[in-house]
Amino acid sequence: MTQETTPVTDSAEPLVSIKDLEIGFQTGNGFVQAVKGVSFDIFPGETVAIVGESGSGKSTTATGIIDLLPSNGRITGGQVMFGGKDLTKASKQEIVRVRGREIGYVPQDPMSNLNPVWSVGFQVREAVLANNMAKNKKDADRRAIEVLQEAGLADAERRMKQFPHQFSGGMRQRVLIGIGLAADPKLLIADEPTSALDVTVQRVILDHLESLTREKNTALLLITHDLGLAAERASKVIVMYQGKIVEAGPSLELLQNPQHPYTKRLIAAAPSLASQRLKSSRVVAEAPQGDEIDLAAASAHRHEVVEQADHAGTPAIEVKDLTKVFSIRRGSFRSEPFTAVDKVNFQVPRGTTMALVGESGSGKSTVAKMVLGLETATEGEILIGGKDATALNREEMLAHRRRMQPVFQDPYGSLDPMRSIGSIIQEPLDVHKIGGRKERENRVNEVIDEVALPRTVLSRYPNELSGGQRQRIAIARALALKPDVVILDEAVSALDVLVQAQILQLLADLQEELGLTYLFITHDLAVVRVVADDVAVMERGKIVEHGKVEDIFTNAQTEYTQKLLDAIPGANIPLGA
Amino acid sequence: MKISKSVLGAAAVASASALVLVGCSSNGAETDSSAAADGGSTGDAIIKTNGSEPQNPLIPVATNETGGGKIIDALFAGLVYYDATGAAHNEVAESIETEDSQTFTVKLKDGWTFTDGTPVQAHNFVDAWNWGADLANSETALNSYFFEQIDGFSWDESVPEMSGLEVIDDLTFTITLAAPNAEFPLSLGYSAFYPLPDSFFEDPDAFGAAPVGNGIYTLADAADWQHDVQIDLSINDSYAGEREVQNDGLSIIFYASQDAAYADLLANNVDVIDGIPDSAMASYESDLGDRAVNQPAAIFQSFTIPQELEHFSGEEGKLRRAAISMAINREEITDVIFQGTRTPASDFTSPVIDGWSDSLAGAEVLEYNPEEAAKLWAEADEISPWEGTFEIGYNSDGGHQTWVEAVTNSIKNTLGIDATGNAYATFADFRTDITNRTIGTAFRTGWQADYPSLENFLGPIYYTGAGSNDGDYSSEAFDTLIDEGRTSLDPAEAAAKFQEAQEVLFEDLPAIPLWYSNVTGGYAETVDNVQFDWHSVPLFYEITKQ
Amino acid sequence: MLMYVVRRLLQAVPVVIGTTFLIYFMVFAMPGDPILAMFGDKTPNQATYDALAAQYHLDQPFLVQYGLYMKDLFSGNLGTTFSGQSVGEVLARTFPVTLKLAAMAIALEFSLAVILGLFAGLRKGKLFDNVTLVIGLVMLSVPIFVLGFLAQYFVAIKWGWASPTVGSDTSIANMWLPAVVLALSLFTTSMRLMRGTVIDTRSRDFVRTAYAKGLPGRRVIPVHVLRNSLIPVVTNSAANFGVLMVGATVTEGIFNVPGVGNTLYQAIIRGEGPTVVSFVTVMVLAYVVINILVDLLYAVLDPRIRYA
Repeated sequence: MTQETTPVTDSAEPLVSIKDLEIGFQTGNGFVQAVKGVSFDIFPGETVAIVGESGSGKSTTATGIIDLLPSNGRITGGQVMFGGKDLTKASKQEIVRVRGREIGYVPQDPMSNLNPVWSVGFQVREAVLANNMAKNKKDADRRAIEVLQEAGLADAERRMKQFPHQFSGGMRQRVLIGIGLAADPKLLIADEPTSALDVTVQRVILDHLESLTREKNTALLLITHDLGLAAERASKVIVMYQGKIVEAGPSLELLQNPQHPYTKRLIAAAPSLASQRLKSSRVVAEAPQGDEIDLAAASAHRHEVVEQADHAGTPAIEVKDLTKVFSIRRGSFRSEPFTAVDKVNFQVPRGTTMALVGESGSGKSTVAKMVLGLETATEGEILIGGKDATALNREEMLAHRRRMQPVFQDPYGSLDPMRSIGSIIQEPLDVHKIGGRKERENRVNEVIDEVALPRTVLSRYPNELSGGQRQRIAIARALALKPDVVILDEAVSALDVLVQAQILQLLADLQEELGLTYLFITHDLAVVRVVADDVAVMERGKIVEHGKVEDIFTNAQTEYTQKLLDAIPGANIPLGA
Repeated sequence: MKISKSVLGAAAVASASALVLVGCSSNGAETDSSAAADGGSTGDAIIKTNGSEPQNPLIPVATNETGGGKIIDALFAGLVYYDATGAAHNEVAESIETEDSQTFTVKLKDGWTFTDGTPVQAHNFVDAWNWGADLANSETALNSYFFEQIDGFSWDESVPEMSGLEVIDDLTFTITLAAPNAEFPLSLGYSAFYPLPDSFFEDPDAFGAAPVGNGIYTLADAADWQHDVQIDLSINDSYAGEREVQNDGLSIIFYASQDAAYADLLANNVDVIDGIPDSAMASYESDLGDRAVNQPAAIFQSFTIPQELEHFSGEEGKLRRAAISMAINREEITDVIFQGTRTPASDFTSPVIDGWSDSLAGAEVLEYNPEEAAKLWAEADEISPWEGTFEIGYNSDGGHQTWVEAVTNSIKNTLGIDATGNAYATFADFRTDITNRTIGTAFRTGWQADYPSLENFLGPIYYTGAGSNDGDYSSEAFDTLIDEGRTSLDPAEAAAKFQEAQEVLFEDLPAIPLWYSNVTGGYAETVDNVQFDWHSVPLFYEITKQ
Repeated sequence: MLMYVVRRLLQAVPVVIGTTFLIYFMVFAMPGDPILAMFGDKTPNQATYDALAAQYHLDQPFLVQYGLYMKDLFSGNLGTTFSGQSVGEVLARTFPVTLKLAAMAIALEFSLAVILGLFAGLRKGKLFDNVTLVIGLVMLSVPIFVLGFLAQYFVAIKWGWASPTVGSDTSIANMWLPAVVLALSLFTTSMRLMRGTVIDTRSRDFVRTAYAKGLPGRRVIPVHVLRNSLIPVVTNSAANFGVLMVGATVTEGIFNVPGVGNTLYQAIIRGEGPTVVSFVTVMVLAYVVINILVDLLYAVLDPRIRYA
């Protein structure tokens, strides 16, 4: 957990020097240029971060360095100088030699990056043997165990014989890091190494990575979408946008004094940084103007409005002693009960936003599903606007559902690809038989205006839209019935930073305008800060801490909450005004 | 968990391999025994031919189909044997004499033995025939009807010893028939009349799996019979007959299909086959050249019109039957459909039989004469107008569909009536309806002679109440002539009577004769001296092999 | 794991019972009197007929016959064929032959599919891929008896590289031609499956990781790509194995293989109820066992699969 890493260089020569690199892909629509002339240097022992949104070309650049592009990708120009040779022109054998031995790679998704049919030990040994780090199998075994231990795996010897699916996500990522470092390479390329992990695990892994690279003086090229994280971990930050570098420089300076408008927008939109600024309460609350993104400002504004409004009356959502027990089958005829949600209690006053935070397995999604009526509660009551949802029969339930609507995480999965946008938004109106055809059409138009999308989009199909646009459609669909409550289950987690910020701003606007109540489920505490009024922290099915957002953030009561807070990347970077 | 998984994986692979190895090991045994069999008793000139798995135990009186018959005929020698032309010669018998064609005295040659060393004596014949005739053994003795004519035979109660058989001494015995029949000695070459050694009577079941005979060949070892695969017969060194063996053994391979047998023939993998598959019918003569065989056999094909079938009885019936017979162009059909492997019939028997004639009175009804046919049919219509469809029943698993269609088309076109085939899926099905008299249409019939006699084609089929009289034909005139022929002591006179009987048949046409089947076959380049005998089986003992 | 196997075997019991009943019923329902058929064109006389009918229980009503048969089955007696052989013996003789032929054919089919599919997938769109596609389609569309006859005619008769029939010699050396014919008629679907899976696996993340480790293609392809692509092909080949077990009747007929197919066909034609049912029962069992073995094989191929 350091701020600045002074590069420990023993020479002024860069380890890797990339000049005017151009990479493109052969797609169904012709040749697409993904990287359009990128140049930067990495010095020995230095940590460099490339930040950008999806489609910026950051991953492509990283994988292009050692030619790990997919089969339809090609380097079309430029050079990658490493150890005096141009890797783009190197022969197959040369690249194979460089990979692993000189340049290591840690991929993003620990689920899919380990071969499921071979044991972990086998795969680590492969890396060891391929890079001549051992002379025979016994030696390789020994070295492999070492690698796993260094990666932080307790009980490494026993673990060697296990298979990837028997490891947790975090452990797998450690294995991948271990593999990347197994041959003591000079440069380690880490492509979003922690994005798929829980927040607390992220911090640990990154700390670990940092210490390892420092120990061995390995240069680290860190690819990430999180500016806060980049600034915290790297000495140099490069910002990419649409295949080009828009700004680069020492991390602190970049953050405190951004030059390029895109960089400025990124900073303004990053929840972690916004949450920082809010904490320091140096933010002027103002409603967002047009296209501008200032997450902190928008969030502060919303919060003010909410505070001033009147929340008397029955709470929009009330949950009492809510419990859910699943029956997990173990062995042929036995099954064990598994308590996913354990006597959860909370209230959400009308017109406010309640965030339910927790890591994976905490039970927060299960609570959301029960509130929505998608799972039956084993015990407890769920009151929406005072009505007990658990005691309703089918017809009543249908009417009840009008009052609460969901927005889910995956913008690609929640819209029916075979229906037009218009019909998707209209569907809830059809199901609940609201008004006649004309009325329904009008409502659809209304709602599409509210989410700031042009009406022409109504006749298009989901696959023609981007993730952010799709999430807006999901929100529009949720609003169509004029619900009282909107339940957002990780609704922004899959979105790019800028888009995420736009959606959060939109949600804030809508809440103000329509008096909506939000139940916001998320694992990202930074987002919580900018979005919520009340927070409940869940761990293993129970609520461990519950309170107003400012209180939680400034004065966490439990250790677990504190851990979560500490894990926010960029938590300790001093920011400019 | 993981440990047991890899163990299980290994187990899975192991058991799969084990199954394969079981297959291999059982094959190992087979290869060994076939290697032994190929060696034979002495020498390597083993004749390989085709056959089918015997459907019954290898007991002469139990064998009523060609698969077993071929083998039985190789393993046993009877009182007489038939040469290629169907003429009978004495084999074990020294002489068969009679005064009245009712009592026959049989004298045996001395010096004959079974392969187990026991001598062939009179009682071996008598005991064997008694056993075969006894109702108690009728489950196994499917050919018991051959002993029907012997005095004392009974269909109703078990008769362990027929009064008509008497042993005089070791080499002499007498046969007394219930009614005179001059043809009887002719039938003595048939397999039902083979002798059986004493060991048979001790354990008939064991015998059926490992028969002991006195013929040209022998089953040296029970293991030489590989069920459903092949049977290897070695030379019987103790054979005492006059037929000379020119080879070292006989291997009968049970082919699943005629196509496979033919393929083997082309590759000289089998030496002689006695059937050509339909697929090769057009090409086998050019493929084999003068090694192709195509000669008449004692097989007669017809279709029977039952007596009670509507419109086919009495005067009307005679007209219609004649009309139908004349409406069939036999020459064209045998040429085109059968590629010349059938010969249009000119009577009710077969050209290979001694005494056959193609110019009997009334035989013109078998010639194609469309105008006459139409005329007769019209006449019949005046008696009672025809309605409905004329159908010919057949079993489609016997390859008969093509010719039945050709015949019915011929009838249809000539007589202007509806005529089609009535197909049965299986032979079993077909025969059931015929036997139960529920078939309701005309139906194909065929007859293969058991022994080369004219009477064999006539008596068992057309005599009133005869075993195979499926059409229920009954004619006193016919019956009388048959009786006369049977009782006559002069073969020439007997033949004349039988021909007269046929003339009666030509008038009544209980069945419409179609053609005689030829035997088609071929032999490979490896063998020579191949002759097919009167009942379509090669004379194996004559075949030579390089 | 043991519980899983036990459970699967128990599931097989109703399958076997149901199948035997169905088959017995169907054979029984076939028109035609099998005893009359034994006599050919000649009619047996009543006494003989009755005796035979009694011997094979053909004079009893269906359920009685079935009951007697099942009783015999459970005491190990599978019945007797009409020609007097014990069905158990016939099975013991023919089953290993068909099993062997099927095993040979599947081994060949699997190898062809894996090798050709692998290279077709690696060289997607190129000449090899297109050529194997065409050849595969031809093999798939040509009926097996055409393949069989052509192979027999050219390979065995004309060129003399193999014996045209198998007959008594069921050694591997003698059965290779029918095995090849069977394999050729079946391999196309497995091959295309392999090809598709290889193309998919190649683009998977863990393959990229393998390359990133510094492994050369000649290690990545067999160890990572091939290994992970096997499962669908294994399923397909196993299903094919089951099909072959049931008797590649046509091929057995062409090449005169003394296996299950032929014998079963003859028994059906003759209406031999007990023989047919016994054969089918054993085949059903074999099929079930093979399926269980294949499912267990998955657990070896893919460690994520657990049979709790």
